[in-house]
Amino acid sequence: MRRVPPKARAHRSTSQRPLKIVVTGPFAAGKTTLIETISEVAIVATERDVSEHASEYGKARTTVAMDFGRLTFGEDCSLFLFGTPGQRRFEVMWEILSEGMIGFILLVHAADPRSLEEAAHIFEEFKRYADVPYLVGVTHSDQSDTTAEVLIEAARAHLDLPDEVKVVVCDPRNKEEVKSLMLSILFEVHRRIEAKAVAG
Amino acid sequence: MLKGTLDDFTLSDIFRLTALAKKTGRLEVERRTGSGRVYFREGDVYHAESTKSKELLGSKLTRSGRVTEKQLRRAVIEQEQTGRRLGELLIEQGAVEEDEIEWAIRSQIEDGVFDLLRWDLGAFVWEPDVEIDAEVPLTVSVENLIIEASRRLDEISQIRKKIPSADVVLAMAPRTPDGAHQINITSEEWQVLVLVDGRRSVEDIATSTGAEAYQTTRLLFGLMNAGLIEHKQVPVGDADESDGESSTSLRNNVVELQPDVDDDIADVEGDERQQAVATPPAPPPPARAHAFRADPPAEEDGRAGERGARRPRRREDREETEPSEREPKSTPRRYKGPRVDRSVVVRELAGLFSEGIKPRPRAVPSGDKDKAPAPTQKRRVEDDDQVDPKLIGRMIDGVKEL
Repeated sequence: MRRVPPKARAHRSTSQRPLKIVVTGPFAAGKTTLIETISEVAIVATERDVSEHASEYGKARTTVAMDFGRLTFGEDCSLFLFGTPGQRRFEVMWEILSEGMIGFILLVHAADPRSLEEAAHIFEEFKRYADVPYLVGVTHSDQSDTTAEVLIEAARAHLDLPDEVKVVVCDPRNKEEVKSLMLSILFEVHRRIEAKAVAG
Repeated sequence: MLKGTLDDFTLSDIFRLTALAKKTGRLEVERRTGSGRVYFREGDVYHAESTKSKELLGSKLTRSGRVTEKQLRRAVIEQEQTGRRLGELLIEQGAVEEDEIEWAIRSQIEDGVFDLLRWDLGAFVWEPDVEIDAEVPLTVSVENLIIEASRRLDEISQIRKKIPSADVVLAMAPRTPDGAHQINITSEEWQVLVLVDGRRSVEDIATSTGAEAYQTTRLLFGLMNAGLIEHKQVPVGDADESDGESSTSLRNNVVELQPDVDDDIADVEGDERQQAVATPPAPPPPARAHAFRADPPAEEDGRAGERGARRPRRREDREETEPSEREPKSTPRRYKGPRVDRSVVVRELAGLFSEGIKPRPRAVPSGDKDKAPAPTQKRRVEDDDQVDPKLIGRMIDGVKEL
């Protein structure tokens, strides 16, 4: 029987370098739901009772630090999803969570005008952190009297988005729609890497 | 040092931030009914313990059939004489392979973290750079621990459909399952099965085995699914009266079949049930577990004594609440222990973990360092040398197939 002194061996770890997409947006925009819809990992209790706006938004719980989801494609290929806390008092967490992201999804609550105001602030912050692909998802469109086209145009105008940035109406509970958002980010990452390689 | 309450950040949040920032140190969590410690090395966990997760290394190895009682006894005697690590002695004896010790250590870590992750209330203290000398140099990633905790929670929700509470009394099935000519059970299952006598409750059995309540309940669930045991609806009081071993003292340890609602409730000030229920006497620990106790890791920061003095009440001191009176998880509760200003915690936590996050090196062509991006320049995804187009391609294919 071989004996290996414990101290002589290096620590083994299963940690991976995470490639991640950050899901951000104002309070009650649907970030946690989006991650839950597609993640293979059950989200473990990151939400807390809220004290502000709860009744107005019909939301009694909020994310205080981050949500975490994961998609695994084979042994050495994982994509992590991080949801940010929506309330400004947790803003300090955003930059931490954005470290190393390959893209971000900004969600906006269609039925709440303040959501767009808040989204503009979040958007400015996230653009500052890194130059990565992003898109905007307008949620809760079923709670709004406005058409999808008008909602998209309103978001585009308010956030002052360039034409090439995708803005879509989406239901974070719908897996196919969430997949579409993820694919848009991944395609754009791929395109940018390829473009750089071609440019030399 | 950083202090805060679990109202500010959940433990899973803190775990993830610690992993993200690759921090080394000790996270100590404390509440009225227990405490726990988790040691991180560069963001991964290498030791975890809680007052409710206390199955010892020797117990894990014997219960799983990896080591015999005799082998363990021999190693324990030698350990007492030499002061060496139990795992090291068992490997030297030829009783186990190194990977079996690693399995047991990993299981201990998972048990400890699983227990702690269910806590909603309490206070935490983060002490950077505090380390201990671990039994085996094994680390487990936070991600894997959280996945394991999620898996266990799912499993518990399934188990509760058949074993809804720790007071359920189980009995052997009067006949073999349909069509069964031969029954194969594991050593672990056998140890649990022999305790099923129509009088002991699930809680009694869990305590008698000395194993984690979760592990024992899981085994019972499996035996029940196999048709080997079944419910026996005997009032708990009757069972105690007729049982020569009397399970009264055993009941002082509560089996957790669900997220830690009862302990959270116990932390709430003014809970009337707490005042109505007298604190039960502390039961003696299971003899086998005590005899096979492996030395806890020694703290290298020389503060073991100080920490020991601060150790909160053990599991035996807990105040019990009746399961039927448990409040729904969503009932607002507030931790009433020492508190600090939330904004201070947020700022400190952000600063603490930001410090550990270093910008990833960017791809700079050799001989072209002058053109490297300025430190203030935004990171571009296409400049990230770890973002490989083939990897992204695989992710695209993977997402399409979801």
